[in-house]
Order: sequence, then C-alpha cells, then structure tokens
Amino acid sequence: MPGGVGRALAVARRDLAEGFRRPAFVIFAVLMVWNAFLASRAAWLISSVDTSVGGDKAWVTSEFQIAFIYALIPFFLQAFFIMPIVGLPPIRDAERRVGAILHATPLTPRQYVWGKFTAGLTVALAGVVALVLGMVLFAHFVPDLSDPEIYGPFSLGSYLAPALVFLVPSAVVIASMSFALGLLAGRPMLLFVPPVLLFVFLQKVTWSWFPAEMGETALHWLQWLDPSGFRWLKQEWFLVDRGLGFYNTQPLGYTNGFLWSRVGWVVAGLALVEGATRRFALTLRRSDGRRRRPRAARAESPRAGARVASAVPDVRSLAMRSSGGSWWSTARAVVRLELRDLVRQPALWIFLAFVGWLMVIDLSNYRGAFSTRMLFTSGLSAANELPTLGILVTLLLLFFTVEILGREEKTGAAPLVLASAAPTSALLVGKLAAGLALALAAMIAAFVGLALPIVGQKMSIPLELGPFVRLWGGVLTVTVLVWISFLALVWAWTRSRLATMAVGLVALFATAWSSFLGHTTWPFNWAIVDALTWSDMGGVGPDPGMLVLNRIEWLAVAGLLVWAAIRLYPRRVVDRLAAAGSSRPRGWRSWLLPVALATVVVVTAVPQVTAVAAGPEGGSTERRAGRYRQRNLLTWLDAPVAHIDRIDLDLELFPESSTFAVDGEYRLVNPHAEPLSRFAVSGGMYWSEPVWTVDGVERELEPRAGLWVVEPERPLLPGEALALGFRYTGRLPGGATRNGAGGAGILPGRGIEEFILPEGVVVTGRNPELVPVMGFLPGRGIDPDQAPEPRDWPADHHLGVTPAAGLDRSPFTARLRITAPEELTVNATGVKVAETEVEGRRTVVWETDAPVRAFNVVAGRWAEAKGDGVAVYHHPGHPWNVPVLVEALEASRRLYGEWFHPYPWRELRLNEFPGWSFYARGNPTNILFSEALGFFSDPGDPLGSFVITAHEAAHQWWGHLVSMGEGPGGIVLAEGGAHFSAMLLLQATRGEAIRQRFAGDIERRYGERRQPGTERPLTRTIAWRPADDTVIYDRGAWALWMTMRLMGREAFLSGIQEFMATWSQGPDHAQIPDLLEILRRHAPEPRVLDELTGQWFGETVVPEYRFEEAVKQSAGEGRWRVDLVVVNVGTGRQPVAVAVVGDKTSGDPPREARGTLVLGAGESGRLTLETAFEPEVAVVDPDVDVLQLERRAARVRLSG
Amino acid sequence: MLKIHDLVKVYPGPVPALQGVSLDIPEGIFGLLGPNGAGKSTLMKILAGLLEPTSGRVTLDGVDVLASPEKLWPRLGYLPQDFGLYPHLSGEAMLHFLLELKGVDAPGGRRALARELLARVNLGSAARRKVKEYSGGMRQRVGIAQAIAGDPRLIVIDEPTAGLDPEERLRFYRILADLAQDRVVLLSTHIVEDVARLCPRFAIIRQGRLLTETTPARARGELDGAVFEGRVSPAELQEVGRRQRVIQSILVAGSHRARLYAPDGDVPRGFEPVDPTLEDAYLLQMRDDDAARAAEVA
Repeated sequence: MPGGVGRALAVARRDLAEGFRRPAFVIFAVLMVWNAFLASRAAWLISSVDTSVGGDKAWVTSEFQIAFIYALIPFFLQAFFIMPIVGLPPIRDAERRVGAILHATPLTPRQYVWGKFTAGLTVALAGVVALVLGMVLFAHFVPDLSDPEIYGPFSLGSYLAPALVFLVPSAVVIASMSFALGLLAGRPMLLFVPPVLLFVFLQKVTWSWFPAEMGETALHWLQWLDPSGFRWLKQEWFLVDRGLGFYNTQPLGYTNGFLWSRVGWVVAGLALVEGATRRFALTLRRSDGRRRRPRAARAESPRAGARVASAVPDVRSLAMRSSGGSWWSTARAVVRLELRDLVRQPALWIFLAFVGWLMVIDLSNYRGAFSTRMLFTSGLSAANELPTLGILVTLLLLFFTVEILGREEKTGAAPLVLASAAPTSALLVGKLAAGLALALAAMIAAFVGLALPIVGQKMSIPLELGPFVRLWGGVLTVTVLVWISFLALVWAWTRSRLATMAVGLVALFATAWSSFLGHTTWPFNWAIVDALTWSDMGGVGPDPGMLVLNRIEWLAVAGLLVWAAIRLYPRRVVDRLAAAGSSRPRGWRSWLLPVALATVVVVTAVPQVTAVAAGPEGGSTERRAGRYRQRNLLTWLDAPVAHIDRIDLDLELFPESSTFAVDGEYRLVNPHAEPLSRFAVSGGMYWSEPVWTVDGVERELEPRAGLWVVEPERPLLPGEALALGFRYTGRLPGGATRNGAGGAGILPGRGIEEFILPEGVVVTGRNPELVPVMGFLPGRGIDPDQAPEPRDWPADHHLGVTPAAGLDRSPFTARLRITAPEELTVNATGVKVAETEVEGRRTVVWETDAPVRAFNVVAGRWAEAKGDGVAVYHHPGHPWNVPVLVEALEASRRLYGEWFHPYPWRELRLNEFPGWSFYARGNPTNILFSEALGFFSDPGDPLGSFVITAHEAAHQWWGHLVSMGEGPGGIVLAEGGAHFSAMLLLQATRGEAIRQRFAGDIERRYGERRQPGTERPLTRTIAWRPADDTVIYDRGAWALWMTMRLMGREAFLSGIQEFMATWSQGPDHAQIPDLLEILRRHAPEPRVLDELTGQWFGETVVPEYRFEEAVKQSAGEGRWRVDLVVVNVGTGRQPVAVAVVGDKTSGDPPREARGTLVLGAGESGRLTLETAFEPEVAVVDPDVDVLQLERRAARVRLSG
Repeated sequence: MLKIHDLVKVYPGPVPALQGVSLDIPEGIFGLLGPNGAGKSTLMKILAGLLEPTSGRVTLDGVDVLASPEKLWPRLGYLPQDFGLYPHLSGEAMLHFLLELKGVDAPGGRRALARELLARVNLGSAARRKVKEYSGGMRQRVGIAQAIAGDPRLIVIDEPTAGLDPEERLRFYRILADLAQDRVVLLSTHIVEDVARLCPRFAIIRQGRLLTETTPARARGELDGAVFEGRVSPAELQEVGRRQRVIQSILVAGSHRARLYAPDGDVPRGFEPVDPTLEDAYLLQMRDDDAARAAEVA
C-alpha cells in the first residue's frame, strides 16, 4: 500500500474506532432503527395515502413509501447527528492540540483531511445502513401481525434504489458541509447553525412553496437544489394523488434531471471537502510561520525585558481588596463574557439574518383560502410566526447552551473559574442569561423581519409592539427559560456536551410527537407555541387564564430545574468512595426555595388539570358524554322526535364569567303520521338543573344523563302541538380546552366553535350547550378511537321522504330576547324589533320575518357598515375588507335572488368574531365570520374576502332555503352548491378571467388533496375522511359548473329555480338525484346530460390531458398549420376544447384557433388547426371549463 | 495555619493518589516536592476545593474547607498546573473577568487593577492582545496574576515556573516572597531549586505518601561531609555504582561527572568532598524510598 494512502487510512482507522464508540453515533443509530420500526408500523405515511380511516391499506414496503421515508424523516436526523459525528473530530483535534505533533510527521494535510472525512462519512453511512436494514427487518421478518395488509412483497430494489438516490447523497452533502465547517471554522457553534437553518428552511420554503405562477424551469431548479430530494418526490409524485394501487405496486420513476442533481450533490460535497483541504493546508503553513510568530515575539521584546530587570513587583501597593464574588457582578461578568464571544461569531449574524429573512419570506408567501394574498396585523404576525421562531430558537439554544455551559472545560479555564469566589448559582444563571439574550436577539431579528412586510402593506396597517411583547416576550421567553434550564440540568448531570445535545433532541422530538398526536394538555405544554391563537379583538384566547397559569407553572419549573442544576453543577468533582455524609448537611433553609417553587408548580398545575378535565375535551366530560350515549343509544337513536315550530327565548349573557341564563319555550309539533307518546330532548353538559314546563305547567322530566324524556299526559296526535318550557343557567365554554384553540381542539384545525367571552359571543341554536335540541345526539359520547364508520346508505336512499340532515329538521319562527352588557352589540337571526338599556345592560329583541331552520346569537364591540339590504359588523381595527364584504353581500343577495330564488328574509348581516376559531358559517340572515377569514384578505386580491362571502351568502339558498337531505351527497348540494354559486357570482361581477382563476385554484386543491384510493362519487360522499372535503366543495362546484356549461346557463338556472321552489318546503329534503331529476327536465339533450352527470356525480373519474405531439408548420402567406395529438392519461370521457394561441400582445382580434376532442380514458386524438397568425402555445381547455388533473401539463409551447 | 490531616484520595480503579497525608503548614511559603505522579496536583486540587477527597480533613485557620469549599474560595489564590484561558479575550479582559469572579477590586477600579497586575507580571505591553496569541510563558503569567490578586489567605501554586524564563522566575519569586509574609503559600513543584530558593520548610511526597517534612538547611545539613563529586568514565561509573551510592551523574564530554553519597568518606580516587545541595537530599530521599519499597516487595 502506498505510504500516503496508508497514512490516510491510519487516520481513518483511528477515527473510525472512536467514532463508533461515541454516544452521538449510538444515539443516531438507535434513532434510525427506531424510525425504521415506526415506518414498518405505518407511523410515517405519505399524507396523500392516509388510510387510517378504512379502505385499502398503503403498503409500508412500496418504493414510494420507502422513498418518502428516506427523503424526509431521516433528513432531520442526518442533519442533526451527522453534523457532530463528522464535524466534531477535526474540532476535537484542534482542542486537543494534536496538530503540532501530527503535522510534524510525513502525514500531509490532504491525507489527514481525507482520512478523517472518510472515517466520519463511514460512521454516518453506518447510521443510514441501520435505517435500511431496520426497515427490511421490521417489515419483512418481524412485521406487525395485527395489521398484515400494510406489507407488500419484498423487493430489494425498493430499498436500495431510494437509499442510493435519497439517503446517500444527503449523507454525503451533510457530512461534507459539517466536516468543512469543523475543519475551517473550528467552532462547534458554527457547526450547529446549518442544521437549524436547513431544518426550518426546508420545511417553510423548499418543501411547501409551490406557487402557481412559477415557471417549469424554476420549479425544476428548486427540485434539484433540495439536498433531501423531497421536493422532487412531492412535486412529481405526491402533489397529484395517483391512488393507493399505483403507489403500492408501481416502481418509482426517476427523471434524468433529478438523478443528475443527486450526483451533482455528491460531487459538490466532495469538492467542498477538497476545497477545505487546500484551505486547511494554507492555514497550517500560515500558523507555522507567517502570522503568529512576529506578534508573539513582540511580548518578549528587549524593552519589556529591560523593564523586568528594573521593576520591583510590588503587589501590596495595589491596595487590593477582596469582597468575595458578589452574585450580581459574577452573573453580569459571565453574561458579558458569553455575549462578547457570541457577537464575534459569524454564525450568530448568519442566524439572525436568516431569522429576519425567513420572517419576511414566510409572511410574504402566506396565502389564505383560494391562494389569496393576506394582510397582517402585528398580533396576527406575532402569533403566526411564534411556532417557527420557537423552533428556531430552541434548536439553536440547544447547541449554544451546551457550548457555553461546557466552555470552561473546553478552554481549560475551569480550575481558575471554579476555584474563584464566584457563587455557583451566579455562574450558571449568568450562562443561562446569555442564552436568554440570544433568544431575545432572535426575537428582535424576527421582529425587524416582520416589521418590513407589515409596514410595507398597502393598507397602512400600524406596526404595534404590544402583541410581540405579549406573545414573544411573555410566552416564548418562558419557553426559552424552561428549555435552557432543562439543558443546564442535563449537562450538570451528564457533564457531556454530546449527551446533553442528544437528550435535548430527544426531548424536542418527544414534545413535537406528543403535540402531533394530540396528547399534550395545558399543564404539560412547556413549549406552548402550538397552543396559541390570536385575535386582534381579544388577544390570546380563548383560555387566557390557562395560559397565565401555564406560564407561571413553567416559570416555577424552570426555577426548579435551575436549582437542581446548581446542586449538580460540577464545581467540585465528587468522590464516589467518600464516606456517606462527608459533605456538609444542608440546612432546612436551603430547601425553602425548591419547596416554594414546587408549591407554585402544584398550585398552578392543579387548576389546569381540573379545568381541562372538565372542559369539552376533558376526561370528566368524556365520561359524562359516554354515560349519555350508554344510557340512551338503544332507546332513543331512532325514536321519533317532535319538531320545533316556534321558539320564544329569553337569553341573558354574562361574558365576564362565560355564563348565561335561559328562560324559553318551544312550540313542538308532532310531524309524524302516528301519535307521539314520548320524545327526547338533549341538553348541555354545563347546565344547572333545568326546570321544565309542559304547556305552562311545571313538570319533572325523566333525566337520563343529559337527556330528558318528555311524556305528554296524552300522546300528541299528528299535527298536534305542545309548549315545552325550560329554565336554567349554564357555562360556555365549560372548563378549558385541552391545549388551546390552536391545538387539536374542539374543532381540529378550527378552534373552539362557540363561546361567551368578554371579547365576543358566538352561540347557535344547534348547540345543546345553549338550548335543548330535539332527540338523541348520535355524535355525543363516541370514543374517538372507537368511532364507528359512517352509515352505509343504500343507493336509493333519496327515495321517499328524506329527513333533513343534522339538527335543522324543520322550519320555525323565533323571538329571541337577549340581554348582555351594554358595551356589546348583539345581533341574532331575524329582524331587530326592540332595544332597551337598563343599568348597564342592553336588551335586544329579534324576531324572524320568515321561517328559519337555525338561529344564532352573536355579539361584539363592532363598527357597522350598511349596504343595500345588507350590513357588516366588524372590529373597528379591521376596516380594510369591509367595502368588499358589503359589495359581495349586496351582489349575492341581488344575483342569487335573481338566479336561484328570491331572498326570503329582510336583512342579511355578516358579523366578525374573534379569530380563536377559523370558520365562517352562513346562518340564515346572520352570517358568522372569523376575523381570520376574510377580514385579513388583501382587498386588492380579486378573490379574497369576496369569494368567501359569496360562498357563505350562498348558503342562504343552498342549505337554508333548501335544507339538504340526510345521507350521502346532501352536503355536496350545500357546500358544492355554495362554491358553484361563488364561481358564478365571480364571473358576473369580476369577470371571466377571475372566475377561471378561482376554478383553477379549487381544481388544483382537488388534485392535491383527493385520495383516489378512497374517493367516492359525489352522490355517495359524506364528510368523513379528510379528503372528502375537497370532493364535496371543489369537485361538487366543478360538477355543477360543467353541468351548467353543457345545459346552457338559462336552462340550468331555470332548473335550479324549480329545484329551490320545489324543495324549500319539506318534509322531504333534497339529494343530488332530486336535483339532477329536475335539471334533466330542463336539459336540451337529457341523454347527453345523463352521460355527463353520470360520470361527474356518479363516478370518480377525472381527465388528465397531455400533448403527445404539438408541431407547427408554416403554410405560406402568413398562415400556419398546427398538428396536435392529445391523450387523456386520466379517466372520464368529456368534450374538451383544444386551442392554439398566438402572441397575445400583438393581435387584435384575439389570435386563437380551437377545436374540440372527446377523449376517454387512455384515448388519444389528433387535431389539426390552421391559423392566420403564428401560434405560440397549445392548450387543452383554454376556458377552464373541464375539471382535470395537472392542468399545467396540458399546455405546451409549439415547436417548429 | 493550614492543617491537613490524614488525607486520602482514591481514584476509581482503584488508584490510590494520596495515602494519608498530614501536614501543618504555617504562614510563609511551604514547598511540596515530588516527582511526576506523586499526588501533588491531586493534593493541590483538593486544597483548592475542586476535588473531593476520599477521606481526611483540611482546615484553614480552623475552618473546615472540605465541608465548605465556598468558605475557602474567597480566601484562595490558586494557580493550577494545567489551565487554559478564553482564547477570544485579551489578557486584560481575561484577568478583569477573573477579578470580577473573585470579587477583587482596588481604589483605581477593577480595569486599572487588571492592567497593574499584568504589569507586575511583565505583561503590560501585551495586555490588549488576544490570549490565543500568547506564548505558554505569557499564559502562565496571566495565571500568576490572577492567583496573587486580592488578599488571599491561602495561595496554592502548582508548578508555577513551568514555561517561565529565568528573569520571569526571579520576578515571580520576589512577588511570592513578598506575599508570603502574612499568609500561607503552598508551592508544589518538582524543581528543587524553586524550593531551595523560596521555602523555609518543605515536604517531599511520593506515590501519595509523605516521605519527609523538613527545612532546606536541615536537609542539606544532614548530608554535610557525605557528598563527593568526581569524574569517571562510563565503564568506571558502573563499577562505582556497584560499590557506592551514586546520587546523580551527568555525561559531559565523554566522561561522567558523578556525585556520591558516602557518610563514611570511603570514595574512589578523584572524588572530592563538596557542599551538599537540596537536590542531593531530594534525590537521596527518592533512592531510599525506592530501596525501602524493593525491600517491602522482597
């Protein structure tokens, strides 16, 4: 073996032996194997093939699934573990000062560098191999026998190919970068910044930023520039769901460009190491001769020496005095020392610049519903960026804190510092304060980063410091304190930098995992960043009390952790053989602080535990709900109920205490053909004992765990009525949420739905917590883990009399008398008929002017903006979208009234409520809008708040005027109908181009979110699986739109008018077949309509068009001939226009020629077009009239 | 008065580092002599409160410093054998930081005091330079400056002159001698000359055991008339070594200059009586200890 290679191998062997013994490798390998286990148990699944709620199972052994795991999951682990594994050895060599000896041997810098790098890379790749072998082992040799459907056949290629394409290049890149940094920078701090930045950058930008307007070339470059390869995987294969069958069985096809990019990453990584080698060699030469010696020699100059001889080292004359190390001066000195070092580290400034930049990018790129641009107030920005900032700061502090805690050991200054008079607590607290200062610096950088886009908004939204101080200063600071205190304790205990980092990473992983699974509750949520939602109307909510208690609790925990860390701080090396009790026994006073802190923890945690348990998601509530279900299911599930005909309600609201008092009466009618001898009403979990009356006489109703049985003295005859009175007090919300409205709350992803709070009130008559609802509540008391699959309805379920879906069983009239604090404006369903004020409380009476099927009450501190028959009640600080909202309401009321059915009520209002919930609801006459929806849309965006308003206003027709029938498909009429209406309204008011943009947006959403493996036809769809949402809203809207295009607008709208008139009365309620039956009568060609609706409503087909050929030829005299071959690689058979378009900037009339093709699944068709202009582009469906997948690919630039 | 009573330290292994060391050290400089690995630094670390002993007791002016090291630290000046400094700080900033930790101040302020102290150890001109650019001797002088800062009752100095040139050593001796007038200074070293110059009393420690505690004069006096020096060839030296106790020999220009211990005066021709040195006494003590151990093993 040549001597050079032999020497390099000797270096490598030496490092390999050490590397495999290091805790970082052991933990890395264990985590890799653990991930392999989780992957084999389907814990990590491609989101688009989530089959957790039934249907076929995704194979964890498919090449797609394995590539997903390889690209995504281990990348973070690689980043965080390969960095120390590969980057620290050269730093350790520098710290151990072995260079002088090593480099005095024939070992060249290149041999040294490549030897060390090879060893580091080998250790890193060993971790990668552990993942691959672990996945094979757990999936094929020890599979989960209880779930055999998730395993496909073994294919070695499915493991090896993705490993070579994804894992190895990632490992090489990270290893190269870490090694080069470690070798040249020589500071662990700099080493740990890249993984943190990479982690956030990939998550926030690379893997999630797919702007519709970005060109193909730019998109490809972004794919190739992603070191993990995940962006390519996602964009090419996952954005449009190919279905379970495809992912399970097909091999993953790699594009050449992507493969070359992976090779490029490997080459770039190795080149980086070679570059570092040269630089390192240069540094060695410099340090040996040119730079340092002359400076060092100055100190030993003859002049200095001359002073030595003559100087008398009189120390006593200095009159020194020693007061012992004071606590404050020690802490201050330590903070100053650490910060002085920190500010000189380029890594800090890179990090801070990145934080600021990320904030700008994050905020600027944020899009609301329908890809609309958003406005940002200070509070919203601070809350939105809190999780990102929290992740950045905690990750960076993990490394920084460990670095500063171990500084004395690393530099060798420990004996000087530890033998000084400095109090131990001051030393430690000083270091932790430096960590806090770093966090504050990051917050300031983030604030500056956010300030730019906030101030730069067109709507002159003021920049306020208050929300940042409250959310970041008050909330995140405590998180930071807990985190660094925890790290200090682990470090003091283990006295190992790497062990502390590993424990810290595991703690972060466990925190994220717990939050992801929804296990985190208020008292245990130290990080809190996942639990907060913000409202400009009321700050952090809806449990501000819980937040305050939580922060006090964790501040005390931080104190306890610091106290324990001080006790364990390794100031004096303990002798484990020393006789027990050799240390001085501590007096009772030393226990005062920890006992006090522990008391604070208990005193603050217990109310949280209690409130959560009693809250809507709490154990106590769940048990009560379980009893409700247990006692009543069999008796009352299908029992006939009386229908509400009239509501007379006195409602007193006490927002300060979240309580209310109800005194009301229902006029109930027997709608059935048989006498009704008894029926049930369900009530709230947070009510006082209710007092019931029947026909004015107080009656004791049989209580059944939240359900009461009404048994008239004699059975109610068909059509006969009785008056059921009720009186009680209640609380809403009762208890506290489990983990804030931002977590897995009452409405996952949407927050707490109804509340009575000082900042606003939102309650509805559908909520049994407010008023009694008729019958048994089938959704109450179901264990989420044991939730039954939805009812499987027969195909002809729409025949006969179909009851209304949900609780909106019958139309009724209502008189609502509401009393609330006078500072609140109270709006409710109907028309305001009276308003009085007595002793600081306002009483408002609302009466319905036409029957409704639901009522609501909403209150707030609003400004009012009125239009023609419409009004918007909004937070005075949110004026930006009000003109658009008024315009949309007016247009909706007028045009929907013309198109569908005259609007039956006198008023149409829209009310803003605090953004602790993220929903809008089009209740009759009185629409609810979360501030987070619509009020923050950029009013300059033509979609924005207009389209949301148009959708919600459309529910006055689609949902209230016509209440949809129970069973599958009904909700499509409500939500798809509202979405279709919005599309129609956009076209009428904002033009065809805007309609096309909206259609394109919801089409893309459908393509990205649908799950073909479990998708059901519209007529069979209910809102059950997560992907049903896009089917109901987006495919539903498109199906109606295409139906209208086929029938012609006039014929279609006349059909809708007949539908509305026919189905608004009940008792039979509408389903999709009922609508299609009426439309068929209005269709010019019913058979053609049947063919189309059969596909779009009765099947799950979606076309996907591609050009197989697109060639243009000059035909002379300025004419052109274009030969096109189009193939439908999707499904369905649909006439579709194909056009060639010329240069749009220089032509009048429009330079376009088009033809039509009808292509079934897999069919291709040829089309030849002749034009009098030079065509540039060919496009399928230029008018955005046919729902399809991957529309981007159905457009091609013509070649000559 | 520093009292060390029956101090034992056993490292995991077990490796005995101190085996019942007892010393009473009055004010003034007390030398601790011993070869590498004798346990000197272990003893120093224990006295500095950085290492817990396995057993034993140490008091400074009656205060148990093992039970309450935090009571010792404000009264301690400690120069460890092996220490580092924060490389990114200047010498002045480093010393200023340590003065803050020690709570040491002066009428002119702490910053000025740091400068003055550095000047006292002849680092005034290099005070503003980064510590990472310092030579080993310069770093040692920063260590000395911090050890003598304040008004420490006990100064524990472990191998202080390593890396110092003769002039700096001299300067350090002067400072130490001045400070030792009214405090306890414990000087650990393996350089006999340091002890000879500075310490009115000293002890020799080896393999964790105290071999002797005496004064340099007494140690030398015990060898009066018994030390001889002469030149012999390498071959003759072996012969001499079989019959005499050779204290030390140095090969110079092809022949050995050897010193012999011969209390009876029976020495080979060419050897002349010379004044005994402390080094002679120390080396003889080592030889005696070796012999005693060999006898124990036998």
